[in-house]
Amino acid sequence: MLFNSYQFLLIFLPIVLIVYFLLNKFRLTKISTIWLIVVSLYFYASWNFKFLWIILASILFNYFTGLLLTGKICHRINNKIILTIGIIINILFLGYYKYTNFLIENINGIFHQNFNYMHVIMPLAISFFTFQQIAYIVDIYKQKIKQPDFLTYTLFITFFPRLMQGPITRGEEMLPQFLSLRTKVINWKNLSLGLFLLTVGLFKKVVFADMLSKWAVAGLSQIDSLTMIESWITVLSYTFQIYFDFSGYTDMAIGIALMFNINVPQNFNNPYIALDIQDFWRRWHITLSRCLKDYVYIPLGGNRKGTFRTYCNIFWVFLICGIWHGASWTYIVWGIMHGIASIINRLYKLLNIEMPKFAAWLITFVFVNISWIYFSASSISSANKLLLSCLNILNFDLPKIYGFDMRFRASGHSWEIYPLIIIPIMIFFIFNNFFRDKLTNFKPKPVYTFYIVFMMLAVFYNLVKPDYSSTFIYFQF
Amino acid sequence: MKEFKRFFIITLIVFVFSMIVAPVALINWIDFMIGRHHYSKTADYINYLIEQKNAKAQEYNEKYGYKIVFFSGSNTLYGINSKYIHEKTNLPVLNYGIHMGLEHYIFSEAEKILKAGDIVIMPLEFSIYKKNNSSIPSQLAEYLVTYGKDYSQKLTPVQKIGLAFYLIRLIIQYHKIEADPLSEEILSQTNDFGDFIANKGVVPDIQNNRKYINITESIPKVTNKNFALYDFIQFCKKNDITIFATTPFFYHKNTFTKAEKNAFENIKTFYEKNGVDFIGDIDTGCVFDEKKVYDFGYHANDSGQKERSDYFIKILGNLVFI
Repeated sequence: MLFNSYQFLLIFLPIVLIVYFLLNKFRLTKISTIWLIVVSLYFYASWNFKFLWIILASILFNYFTGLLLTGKICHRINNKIILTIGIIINILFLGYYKYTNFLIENINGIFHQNFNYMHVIMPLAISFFTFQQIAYIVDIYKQKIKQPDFLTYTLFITFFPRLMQGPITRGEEMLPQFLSLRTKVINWKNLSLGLFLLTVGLFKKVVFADMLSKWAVAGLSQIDSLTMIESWITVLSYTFQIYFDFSGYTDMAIGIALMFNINVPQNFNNPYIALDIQDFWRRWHITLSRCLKDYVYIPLGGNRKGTFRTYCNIFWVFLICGIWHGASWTYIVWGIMHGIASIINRLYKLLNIEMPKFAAWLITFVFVNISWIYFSASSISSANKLLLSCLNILNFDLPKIYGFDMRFRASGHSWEIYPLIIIPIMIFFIFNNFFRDKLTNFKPKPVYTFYIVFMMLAVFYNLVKPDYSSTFIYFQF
Repeated sequence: MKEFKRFFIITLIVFVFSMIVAPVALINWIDFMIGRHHYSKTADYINYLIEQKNAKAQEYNEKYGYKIVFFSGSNTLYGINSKYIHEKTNLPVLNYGIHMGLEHYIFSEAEKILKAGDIVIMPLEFSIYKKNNSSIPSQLAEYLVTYGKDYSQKLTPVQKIGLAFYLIRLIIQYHKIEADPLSEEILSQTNDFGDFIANKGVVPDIQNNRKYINITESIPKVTNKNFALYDFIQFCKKNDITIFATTPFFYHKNTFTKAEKNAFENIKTFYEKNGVDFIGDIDTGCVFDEKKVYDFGYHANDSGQKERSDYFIKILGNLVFI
């Protein structure tokens, strides 16, 4: 079940909300928590029932590790050992499901072996819930949080608005909210704001991202024959698609959580206006950056062990970031690119030469686009081809822009006028911070009713298309 | 807090109201607009082809009492010369190749002209094997807004709303409501049998994605669920119409991969399970020679068309007496 489906919007969400607040109205708070856990697990299992035991096993293991760390069931084992074993088992668990076949493929390639691939299907959201639970046991170890009861912990991990794609939340910011009685009472302001955010997210995803995906997919599927302009249109389409797709999902997740009076941290802050690569990572997938900083960069020594070690640590963080995204060399290259760019960025800052803002923005934006080429391509060689095609001035072919359109029409994805209208609107939204402003200034006024209804109608128009089918890019991670 | 409560409730009411009013208005509008104008030249041309072929079908019915129908999309329109086959064999051969962009709709058009005793040969394009009855692709929508008055009765409200939006898009795109009439040049591209005859030589610089037909991309596992082709086969069986399936004309690079062969076997299995004989194999309609392609991997040029027509002349005699 997806957020952008009728089933979720018209049946699942209203029922879950109504039952949740009704149970709390009758002071059945424990049952309301169980209700949220059950529906969250149902939400997860609706993808594939077989994966349910995997998330449950992971929850049980990490809760048990938490109990060991707090000394509630055994005092004799050293906490550092428990933590190390806990982290290793989580990483092995993630590695088995996500990287086994990638490893076999590489061993076969390097050592000319012929090991059979294993029949392993990656459970959805495994990277998200594993990372979150590693963070949880580290926080317990560092005594940043107290061990919650089992139900609250299970809800913390499975809470359906952010289960699939984050934001990656910390125990210290979420657990008190799940325990607070104030979150059990219906709050019309949160409901209204949540509805607005949900609508904004849906609009970003269904109207913007899905439209762009047609152009990106069509381009990526015919890399061999793209002209320079076509290549750039493909790359830019993907750049904006992934932003609207992921930030749209995040808005929906934050909005839905807010309806339950749960505040989930922001994940995006207009990343494409960043002026350098560090700035970009302060604005893109903020909760992942935060997590990598707190649980990888700082434990590695951060910037406390000299300049060289700092750069090494930055590199490792981005390498891990790439590996976290997926079992493919394209993600690893993407991570390495960002690592190197971050190091260069820091070195440049040492020169104390201020770059004009526009140039800084342009360099950052172009770099981010190029890195997305590796992120989106099916292989390194395809990515190289697309990159070369982007740089091939000899294949400029301006008049072929119509030919481009015709080619995409052949893929059944043409709508000539639509992108011309939508793309400037998107650019306006990105650079004008439209959605953020509207959210900050949100008031219960008719104009907001208009925004919500207009965006919802646009969303439902797309959803009722008989051949509509769309998933989120980050689901695969 | 009260004002937020009021806001939330009013927003929900307005939303629900809009969800009812807007669709009802759109459905009524599209019902009113369908067939009122010739919105698209492409649709007019497709309709011209259908009428031309229907007239030939009628002529065969009266003269021969049965007909042999080559039925599929443009691979047949370009790839079969029914006039040539008719002249060589004196058999009532009809080229019922229309446009695969109409997807399942072409089956309903074919059903109108078929009758007991007919023989249907289907070199269907690979894309048809993944299509279901519920989708209205853009090419079909473009056709239906002008020529779908009767067919629109069968559409669901959701499909009608989709059609309404498509018509709006079409009007914006062409900046006018009435398309120009078809030129003499376009009308002369087919002969009086409905075969495409303006496919001389090879169009230079065919883009790669239009040149090579990738089988694996087109064919998922073939199932019967909500599947127009399955319904069409049942229609033929019920009405005593003999059907054969075969490979479409298509251009392919070098040899077939294992995945392509598997995908093709899926198609054959589908026909086998539904009691339909398959003529030839994966390479029956395939050409590896670029010189036989006109402007698209599914479109034969005059040379490819003749070769394919000759192939069918060889085997038609056997089929008629089965």
